[in-house]
Amino acid sequence: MTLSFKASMVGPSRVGKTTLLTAILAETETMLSGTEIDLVPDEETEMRIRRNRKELRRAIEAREFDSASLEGSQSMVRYNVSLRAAGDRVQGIPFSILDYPGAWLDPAERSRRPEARENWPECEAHITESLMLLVPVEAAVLMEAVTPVQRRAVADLLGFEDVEAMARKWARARNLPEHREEPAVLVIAPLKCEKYFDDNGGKGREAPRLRQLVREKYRSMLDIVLEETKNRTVRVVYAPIDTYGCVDLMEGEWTDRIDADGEASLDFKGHYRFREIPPRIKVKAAGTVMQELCRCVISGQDRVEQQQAAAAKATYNEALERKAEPKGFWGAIDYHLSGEASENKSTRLSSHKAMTTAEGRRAKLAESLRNIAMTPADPRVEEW
Amino acid sequence: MRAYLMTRGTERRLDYAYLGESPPLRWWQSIGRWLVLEAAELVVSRLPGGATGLLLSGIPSQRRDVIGTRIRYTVVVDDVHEDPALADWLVRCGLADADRERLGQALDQGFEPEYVDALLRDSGASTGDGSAQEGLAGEVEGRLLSILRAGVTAAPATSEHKDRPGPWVGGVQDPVARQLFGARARLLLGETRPGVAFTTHAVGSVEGAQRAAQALSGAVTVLLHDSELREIQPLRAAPVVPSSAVGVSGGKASAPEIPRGERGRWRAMSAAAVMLLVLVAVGIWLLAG
Repeated sequence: MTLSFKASMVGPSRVGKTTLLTAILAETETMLSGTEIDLVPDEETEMRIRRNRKELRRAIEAREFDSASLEGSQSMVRYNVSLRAAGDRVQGIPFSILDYPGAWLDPAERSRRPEARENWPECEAHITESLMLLVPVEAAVLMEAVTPVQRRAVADLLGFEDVEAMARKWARARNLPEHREEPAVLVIAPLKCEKYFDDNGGKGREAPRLRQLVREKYRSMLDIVLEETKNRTVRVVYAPIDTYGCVDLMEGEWTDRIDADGEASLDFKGHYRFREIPPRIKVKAAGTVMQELCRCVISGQDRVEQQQAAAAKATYNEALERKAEPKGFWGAIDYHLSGEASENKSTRLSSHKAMTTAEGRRAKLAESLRNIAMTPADPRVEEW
Repeated sequence: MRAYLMTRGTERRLDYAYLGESPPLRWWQSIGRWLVLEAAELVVSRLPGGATGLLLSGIPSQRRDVIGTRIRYTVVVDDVHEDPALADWLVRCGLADADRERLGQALDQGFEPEYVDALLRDSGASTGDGSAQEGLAGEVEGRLLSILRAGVTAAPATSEHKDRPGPWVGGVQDPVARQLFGARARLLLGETRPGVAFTTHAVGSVEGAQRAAQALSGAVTVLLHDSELREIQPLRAAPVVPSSAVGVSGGKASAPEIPRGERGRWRAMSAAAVMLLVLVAVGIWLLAG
């Protein structure tokens, strides 16, 4: 079985996990152009991405774009992708991104869903083993909460408590000695940001307020991650994304609801309108998230190659030492007649070859990283 | 026969869940990789133990969740072979959009938005009252079965088609493939041989269907939703061959396999051989002298 690198998302139901995943995987060709890297999904992943895109496109074509979201997930799904050097036909670096129903994040919800109970250990293992943790944020929920009761509802709607709990587990796992040398990137990705920016066809000038709100509301999560990763560094990336680029939030509607504790609370619904007719999808900043992900996967693979090269070198040196060591008369006869000499030679040759191959692959990976680094990041994206 | 219904509520936190009781065995998990349960999929299965199951997903509701996304239903019926007419009707719902829409409308009538929200909310509140929970589950199942059975009586009978033997793949757009899929579903439910017939949005090629057939046991029938396949193709049912492991695990590397000289194995034999050679040489020298 081919094991792969992992990336995960943490967010409650209807926050936009599948939408984010589709945004970053759907436009890979444009995102990675000039990097000489290809992303090759397996057939099931390709079909799912295509279906999600079709669904969004259908909504746009029908001019029925009120939800600005894909249908909620019903089950756990792994999106399997392979990262390859452009034109390379051999198997690339496999990685998989996990999607799952947002309700599973809540331990109380999990406990009453047999499917969630059954699958959650696998989900949690995937999340804690992930090189990258993506936290999608529904920007409008943060930005349109004005009154105290609306602001109170935000914590629940964005699932701060569950997200923080999961971020802690992820950070703790990243800090373990066996994962310490691997990359660790936390991406906070506000979605549907069209209304708040003026750099993608919109007129919004609220980018600073969005950044400030995200910093404020996710400060405790960032503190947790910092606290749990004392022995390593974690890259924190802030990536506000225009999921569609052709819609504007016109109005946020807050509706009454009963929360999990049976108390009155609020829910949020955004009403959107098209900027232009016919609408044209212009995703923004998702490419940089994909670049971050590729960078992460390549760095992870580089570490693997480094380990393989080191292991091959150790084998080579051991074989060389054995060859050179004084064996005495009988020992020398035994060394040659037993076939050990020829085995030793073949060990030295194969380990040398493994070393050279690993180093060659590392050189290619370094080149890929350079190519990604040369591709300009979206100016909206910041490292915190 | 047991029937289960999955849907979600209007509020954000009322995510997809079974109303009342959940199926005790998620028998469709073995083919989960090839199912997009958010879309219209149909699975008919007979397990080696003889149990049967039918899953119908992507049944559209007129309800929308709080952010305006259309809600769906998933129906699961265990031991569906006990009611062949119902099974036949559900298979038709799985293969024809109009029938599925009709089923969605019927479910909407039987499960009003307020009722669904209340059920999902109640399942969230741990009352600890087991009999009340059982009563609720029974009520949901009763409603569901009466809706499904009403659909059977309203629907005209389906004409019988002969099964095409062996595993095969077809396109859902192909009327012959749809008819044969129905025949296979009837056969699975009517006989005792294990197998599975399913539609998929997760595979679009014969090769993809072949991979599925190789990974599954029993008679496999695959109907592709997103494919231009216009005629039925046979599939080979072969055992799964595990692919070679690559030394990557969440960023962890395994050391490469490097052949090494085996040092001790021939040691005794070679020493004995050398000794023998020396003795022979000495013997020859003595004899010659």
